[in-house]
Amino acid sequence: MRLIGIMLMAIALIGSGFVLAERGKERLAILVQLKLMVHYLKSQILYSNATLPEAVFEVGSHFRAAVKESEDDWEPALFFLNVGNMLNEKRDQTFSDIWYEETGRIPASVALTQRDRESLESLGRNLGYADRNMQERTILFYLEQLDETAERVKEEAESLGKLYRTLGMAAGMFWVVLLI
Amino acid sequence: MTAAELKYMFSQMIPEDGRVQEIRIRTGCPIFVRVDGGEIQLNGYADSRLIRELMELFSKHSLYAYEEEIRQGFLTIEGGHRVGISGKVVMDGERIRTIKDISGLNIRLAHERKGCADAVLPWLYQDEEIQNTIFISPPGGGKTTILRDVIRKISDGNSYGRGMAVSVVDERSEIGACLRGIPQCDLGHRTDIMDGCPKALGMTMMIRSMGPEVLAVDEIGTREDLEALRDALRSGVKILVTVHGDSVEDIQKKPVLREMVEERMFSRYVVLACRPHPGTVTGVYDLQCRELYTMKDGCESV
Repeated sequence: MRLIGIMLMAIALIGSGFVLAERGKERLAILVQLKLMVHYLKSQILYSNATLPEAVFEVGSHFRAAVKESEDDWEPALFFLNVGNMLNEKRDQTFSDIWYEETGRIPASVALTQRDRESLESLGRNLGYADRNMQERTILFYLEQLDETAERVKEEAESLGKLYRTLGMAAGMFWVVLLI
Repeated sequence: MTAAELKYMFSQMIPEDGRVQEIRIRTGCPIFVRVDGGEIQLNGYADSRLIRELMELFSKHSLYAYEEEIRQGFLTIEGGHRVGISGKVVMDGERIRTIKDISGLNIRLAHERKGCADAVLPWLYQDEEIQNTIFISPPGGGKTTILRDVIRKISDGNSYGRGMAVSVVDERSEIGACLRGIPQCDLGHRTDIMDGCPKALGMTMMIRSMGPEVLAVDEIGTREDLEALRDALRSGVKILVTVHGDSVEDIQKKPVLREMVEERMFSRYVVLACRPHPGTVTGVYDLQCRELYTMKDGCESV
């Protein structure tokens, strides 16, 4: 019985190392997905001259269709779809308020840092105002931020991923050696 | 005043069955609503906050998407309603860049009135063939409403002629009130619509691509329009157009329109008036501008 307990604890420690390593990859995947979606948003605004409710909804629908298997999980496409729906339902609220509300609804479990959330929030705060050039500049600024973050996360995911996995395994083995 | 307060006031003071034609909002002034030809003054005064909120609502939080329209002094919103704007114009050389500090809005509500063209329809056909027609009326005279109904009748077919392929060039989205490319107004089953496209360009595109039998456009008047209409007539396409004016003589004061009349582009002139109510037909004239039908002869108003 004691041996089983020791083994389970060891497996949990090793597993947590792998989970931490995976979280970096998840964050990277979300950032890459956001980047693709914001590029699409840019084309909707600048090329199709779509209004924000139309553009945001179109982006959400387009990317949601591409990842049907994760119906219940949060994903960036769902965020865009929700914003689009809210814009059509709550017509007396401003775009930035709705975007802000929806950013606040992103579950804490989603692998985005506070800074990622704040950048996303500031994108919504600055969209819709002034002319098309301003929209382009706002979007390009966010894309630049996303690029930098994604690059950093990618490097971290590689180096820290290895570290987390190694630490997890070392902690697991240490636990076994300590208690046997 | 906020947009929500205005909405509440509107629901309290405007009769539910009243036909709202126009709402005029000016910073620091009372709000006037034209209902069934009369005018109602709402309580309270408009302020810049109200105008800002309304502009945000009308543009769906996307003023950038209406840049070109704002430059022309108006924007067309969902439902085909037209919002005229006035404020401080920002110039870029000879060209208007935008209008800022918007201080006045004139919201003109579009109305789809099926059957409003019934009274004029018999005069638009000769030997079961639709005639090239121009609808003349002052602003608010109902020419777009009547054009919309005529398009629907021609497209679906009626007791005077078979259903025909109609192409509509709807530069200001007022005829079809398109939402995501789909007309919100009934334009008939054989109608194709080019939404938000400059008229002259749209007419040429439609003739080349959609093979229309009838081409319909609203508010013509430029030389480019004239050239495009000439092309259409050369291609054997029938045309239905509208223009601002009081009478056939009045439109001939404008050089381009005079050329159109002199070239005998139109075989029917339908003159509309705002009184006693929008859409009142005051006269129908033929190719030589001879009276076919006048209000004194007992023409039904539409």
